[in-house]
Amino acid sequence: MSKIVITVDDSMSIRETVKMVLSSAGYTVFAAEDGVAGLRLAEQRKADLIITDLNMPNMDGITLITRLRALPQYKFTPIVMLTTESQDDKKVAGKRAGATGWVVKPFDPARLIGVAQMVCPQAAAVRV
Amino acid sequence: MNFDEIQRRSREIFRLEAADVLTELEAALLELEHQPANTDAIDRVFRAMHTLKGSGATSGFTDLSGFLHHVEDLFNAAREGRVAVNSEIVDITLRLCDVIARYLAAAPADASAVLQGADADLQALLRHLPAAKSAAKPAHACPGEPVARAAAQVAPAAAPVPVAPEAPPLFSYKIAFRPHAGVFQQGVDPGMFLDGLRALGACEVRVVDSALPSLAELDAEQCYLGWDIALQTAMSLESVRDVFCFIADDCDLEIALAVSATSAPAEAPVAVRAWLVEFQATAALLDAPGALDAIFLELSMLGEHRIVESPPAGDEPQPGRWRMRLETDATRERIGDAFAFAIDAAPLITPADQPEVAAAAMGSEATTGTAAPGSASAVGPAVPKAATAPRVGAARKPGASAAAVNAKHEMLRVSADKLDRLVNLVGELVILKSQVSEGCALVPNLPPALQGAAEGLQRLAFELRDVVLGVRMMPIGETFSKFRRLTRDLSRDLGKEVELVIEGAETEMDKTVLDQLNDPLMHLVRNCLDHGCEPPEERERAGKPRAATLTLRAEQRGDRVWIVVADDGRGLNAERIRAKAIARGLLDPAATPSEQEIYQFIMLPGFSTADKISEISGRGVGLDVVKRSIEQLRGTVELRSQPGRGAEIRLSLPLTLAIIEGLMVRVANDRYILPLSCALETIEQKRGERLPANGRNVVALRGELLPYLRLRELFDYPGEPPEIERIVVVELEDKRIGFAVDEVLGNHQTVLKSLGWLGQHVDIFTGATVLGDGKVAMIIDVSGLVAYDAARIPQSNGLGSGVEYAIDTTAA
Repeated sequence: MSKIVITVDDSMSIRETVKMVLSSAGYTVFAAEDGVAGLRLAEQRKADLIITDLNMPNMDGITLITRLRALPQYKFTPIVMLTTESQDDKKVAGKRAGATGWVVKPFDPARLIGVAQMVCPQAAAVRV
Repeated sequence: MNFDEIQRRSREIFRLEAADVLTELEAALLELEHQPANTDAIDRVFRAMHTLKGSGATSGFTDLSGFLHHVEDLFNAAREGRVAVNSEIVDITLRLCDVIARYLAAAPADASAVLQGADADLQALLRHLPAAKSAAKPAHACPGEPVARAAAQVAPAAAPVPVAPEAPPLFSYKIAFRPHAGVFQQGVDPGMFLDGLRALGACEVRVVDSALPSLAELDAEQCYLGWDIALQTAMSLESVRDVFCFIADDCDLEIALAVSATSAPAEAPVAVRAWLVEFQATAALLDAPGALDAIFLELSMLGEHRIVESPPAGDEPQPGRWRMRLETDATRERIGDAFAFAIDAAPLITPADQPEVAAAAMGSEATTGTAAPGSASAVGPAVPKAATAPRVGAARKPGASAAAVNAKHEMLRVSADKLDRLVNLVGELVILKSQVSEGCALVPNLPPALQGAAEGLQRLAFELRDVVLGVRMMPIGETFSKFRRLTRDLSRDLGKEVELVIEGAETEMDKTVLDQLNDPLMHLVRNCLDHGCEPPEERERAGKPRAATLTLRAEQRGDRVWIVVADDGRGLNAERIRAKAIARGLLDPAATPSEQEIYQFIMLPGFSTADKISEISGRGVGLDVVKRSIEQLRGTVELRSQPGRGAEIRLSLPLTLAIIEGLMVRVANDRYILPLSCALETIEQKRGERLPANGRNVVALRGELLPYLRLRELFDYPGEPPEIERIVVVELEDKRIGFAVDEVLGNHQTVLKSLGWLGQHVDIFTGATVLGDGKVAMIIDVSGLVAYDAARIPQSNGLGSGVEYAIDTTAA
């Protein structure tokens, strides 16, 4: 069964790129444009992996991670931060909020797939 | 889709996105210019820069990303209060917006030159950065991510596991990995790091369960296990450590380089190899719901699998022996795990590289008709589809529909062409619907089913029409806000102070209309700034505030939208326009038109009273162009001015060009449509009640005299009006007027069909429509018809219906 990924980013091109890249690796990807929409989407449908930007309007990534971790169905779900912030303080704050890992923008498609595969393995053979 | 294709599309999407971000950036900067300490605006600028930089780099615009890096730094410093935003910063950043727009529009070869050209501006901007921060960082402060790099090696998309021609030296590592108890709450499965190590080389993993409490004390949400791993790999200590990057702070980790060995291992542990998997599908297994599917699913997760042999096909999976070839990097034990819940399947897992097995596999691969040894493989490859595909497919369906539901929340960019076609088709559908309704009305004893279907069709067609038209409606705000920057730059060039006020930004209009409004509005705004608004000193002398106000206002009035461009400047100079009109032979020197009438002359082609042709406007292409383009949109332009108080131009435009709610009327044997939005009521008039007053047609309506036009007379129909006429009362720009017709037939959904070149010079009809019976009805342009009647006055000798109101329109 294809794993479900929700990507949350206020940048349309990042959203679409993540979608294209992970779809090509067999994941089913949904996208939301900020933390509020991301949370709503995640509540509607259980994702196997969440990939979120940190700096977003309405609800930032750290808040989203905290809110997701408070939901019983997302207690153990891998959450990856996708951000240009390479500073350690952001990573630490994200980790403390419950993030599983991070990918730094600009990301290489293979690198993104690599991290997704690591935290949420998806057999490429299952892809539709 | 391969990565090149993804990158190409990603660049396209970024260009689209960047255009929006730049608009937002510009708006935020303009706000910042007025309120340099506005933290919200600073935040918006920062976020826009951040998006352009981050998304740009991801989409392959690395030079743009490098260019913007320091600009982002600057606004980050502003966000943190380390830099005070001033007008120079805003100024330069606005110029950089233009640079970015040029960069994105440039051919790839010229793009970086565009950025280099802006280096002086960039340096000037960066001088505002506090010294500590301005110490040049590398352009890309985003070093390759080590974890990700290591992790990429487990990716199927990454290059195949490198097998160097000469085996590199191998290192032996002893790794003690003790995750902290709370790692599960971070979505961490410690196994992912073990897999990461396995991707690096041969691993011997031993679980350390000494911390495991008794079952009574065990909290299933805590991690009690640790692992000792012996790893043989060619990778450096750094790479091994990188595997644990995500969990580095949440585990105790010791990595020791044990022995350095140079011999290659006997078997490349991560290499993908082929296995032959055999098992027995027993009746018990087939009875357990989903058990067989689970096995196939588990195996397919491991790698590519292909059925070599299977029991005979049937409606239901049959008991029997399955044999399949599996290509995977998983170990035999891992493959065996697929059968964890099907022990009686007696799985037999053997490497598939024995020649005879390979031959068997090849045999069934070649053609489905070739029988592989000892198998019923004529149906072999087809069976797994029958056995597994339908169930997997059914299981995926909910996912697919969820995707469709989800898509509703997202914005889609759709080409206008497609929308236009959709609108046209809906138009045809609505016409067809009328024909069906009318056809049904002619059938005596219509079967109720058909009646119901016709009504359903009508409801659906109307709903569809509303939805489709709604899709095309866009708020005018975006069009308006484009003028903020223009106003700022122009007024500065002209040495004027102008404040732009936008009202009714949420007013929605048909996109087609909006798109064509840009140029006319641009003309009007430039005109106001150049000619209308005075320099600050002149305004002060006139007792006005130094800053002039330019207002862009939109409001919906029935099925029309009024757009007003107004300034509080010097107003129009009636004397000068009059003199010019006389000089050009457009006005009789003896004539005494009102001031408002004189103003209308400036809308004639080539009529410019500007003393000198300025950079901004006054090239002689001006208001006449505006008037023409607005009229092409079935709109009208009105101009009012008060000397010393300002000028106002009001555009009245239809909400949509496609469909009109109409009132169908009959005159003799022809039918016409009046736009319903301006129709107020209909009244009856008997022949005896007709009151010709001073040669004009008027009717008494609740104690007031209402002027009216008789279509029968206007269109020169022979014959007398019927005994009882109907007068449709319409409201036209705050005034009332009647149209006398023979009969009012009722409301009519009208799909507007353009008259094409034939109608180019016809002002009294906005178009035509095809009726249910296939005949054509003209759609009356109320204001056009009133104007037409007014123009008849000189020729009319008291019989004409020229009403007072019509004279008012030209003078208004």
